[in-house]
Amino acid sequence: MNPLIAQIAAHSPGLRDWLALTSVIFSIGLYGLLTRRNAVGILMAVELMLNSAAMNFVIFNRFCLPARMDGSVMAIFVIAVAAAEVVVGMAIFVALYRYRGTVDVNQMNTMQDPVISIEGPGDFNREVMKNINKQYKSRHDH
Amino acid sequence: MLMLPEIIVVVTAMAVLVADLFLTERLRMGVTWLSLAGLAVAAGAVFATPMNGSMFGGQFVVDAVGWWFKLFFVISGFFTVLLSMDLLHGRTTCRMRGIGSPGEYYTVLLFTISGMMYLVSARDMVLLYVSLELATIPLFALAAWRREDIRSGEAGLKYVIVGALASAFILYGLGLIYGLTGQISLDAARVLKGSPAFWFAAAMLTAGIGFKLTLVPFHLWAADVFEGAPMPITAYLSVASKGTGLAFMFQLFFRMMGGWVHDWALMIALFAAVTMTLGNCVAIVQHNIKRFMAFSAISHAGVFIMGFLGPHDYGVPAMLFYLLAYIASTLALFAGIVWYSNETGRETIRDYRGLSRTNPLMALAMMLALFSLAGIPPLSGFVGKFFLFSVAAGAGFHWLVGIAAVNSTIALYNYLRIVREMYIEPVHEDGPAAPASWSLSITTAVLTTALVLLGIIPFFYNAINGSTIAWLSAVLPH
Repeated sequence: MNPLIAQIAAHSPGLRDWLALTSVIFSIGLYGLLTRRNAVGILMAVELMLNSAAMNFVIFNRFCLPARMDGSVMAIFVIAVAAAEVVVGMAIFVALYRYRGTVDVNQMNTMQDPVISIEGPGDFNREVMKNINKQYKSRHDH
Repeated sequence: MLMLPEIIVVVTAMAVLVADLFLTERLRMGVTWLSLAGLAVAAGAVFATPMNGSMFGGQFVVDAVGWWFKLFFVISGFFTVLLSMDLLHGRTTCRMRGIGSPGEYYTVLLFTISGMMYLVSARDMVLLYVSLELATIPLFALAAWRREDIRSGEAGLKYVIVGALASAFILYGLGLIYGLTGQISLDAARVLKGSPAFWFAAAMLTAGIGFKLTLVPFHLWAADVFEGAPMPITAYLSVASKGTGLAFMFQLFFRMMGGWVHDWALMIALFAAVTMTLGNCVAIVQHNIKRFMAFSAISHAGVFIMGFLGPHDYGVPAMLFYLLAYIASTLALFAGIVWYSNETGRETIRDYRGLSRTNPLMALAMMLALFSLAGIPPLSGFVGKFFLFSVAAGAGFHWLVGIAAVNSTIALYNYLRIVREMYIEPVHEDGPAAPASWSLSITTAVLTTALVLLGIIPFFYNAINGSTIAWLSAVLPH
């Protein structure tokens, strides 16, 4: 057998390896959150970050205090809460998609610090909807 | 029974949800009465609970600081229901589409209040994290409540992403602390020694708190979420969400890492200086009153965290008192803003011109609230700011007090812009026709009286001070 493979097979991952894994997953999540344009993709990236943090609890529990269950219980709670977070997030995205036809976060720019004085929400909404329609059309023309 | 106030709020939330199924359209107001009654009873129950005691083997603890926080949360929830009821039951002159479902709205609102109340009583990471999420996740839904307003959905989207990011950071920090102490309890972390892992965890937690409390540079979500959310939710976000952030910061910085409070005083002072300055300077150019209030809330977050600078015996009571003054002033101001937007649907600062002639009482109440927020002497905002500034000065941060004084002047300019529109400019040709409804009138009257009395009568500050100092000096290391 190849000595490298033999060494890897003999070596069972320790605390340090697992923590490196979770920090890599957390970083991947953070990268995804910053680069994704689709809101659903961003939600998936956040899910990666939450899960890596939950893994931390399980890892510390397994390697530092195998007699108690605190960390594992915390991980279960984190999973449940993360699910609730995703449900609310997806509900908001679906409602938004029905109304605007997109969940691209680059187009979520209807509210900005003022450059010109704005008359009222009615005019404001009309103006913004015109802009959105224009963007939508220009994406589907070519 | 220590958990009685929380149980009452949760039971009310469930009862509202069930009652909403069975009430006919004509009796739909019943859910409002039910939530108001539940919150009033919960406030009474908070009064009835003792200021110290623990349940479940020390996992759920009530102490003086938590007791005051709970009272503030219930009060702000109560007035938020009063602010929301006209809008939800369609009793406004300006018809707003897409806002409705009062039963679900109140249920979600009551759940956030119960989450906040559990948060201040939590003594282990599981309850702390779950209650923090219980206080935050329903707010995402509330921010996106107006489905047919493009800004509301967008606010919900931004809030959900940033809120989830913040909780990921908090959770990662908590996980590292758990690894270092080996215990899920918050008190275990008091004895930690400084190590790279500890500082990394503290940085993660600080970033998470910064998001929740809108400290600069973690504040970018606030303006958009405040602008897009329905008006009563904007009011609720600016008081209750700020209170949650403070309670959470108190839990982490005092309870969990209490041995280190002196070491990061400089960091907190820098955060306070930057947050105040940026919040006030950006508020100068705002036209929309909701965005304006967002930046006002950001600059107030900077003032609040001065209470963490120490000496800690009186930093915390000063912070609690200012929170009370801030809740009264902000909600009194929002009662006027909600009334104006209900009547006309407009929300720019220019629209308030000439309000003192069309509705002098409301203009007077709004002016008092604005002066209190700016810190004009006899009003409560001044007294609260004075205590917090003296905390910072007592801790040796004289430069911070200087910056805060300059900031008070900028804030005064900002708030006087609205007063000028109301009192000096000619009357708006299309101003609100109807007077304020009874719910908004009661809110305005009660809160305006409160914000004046809090500043004049020292009883409230003495009460907060007396009950918290004994507890703090027993807990904190000196």
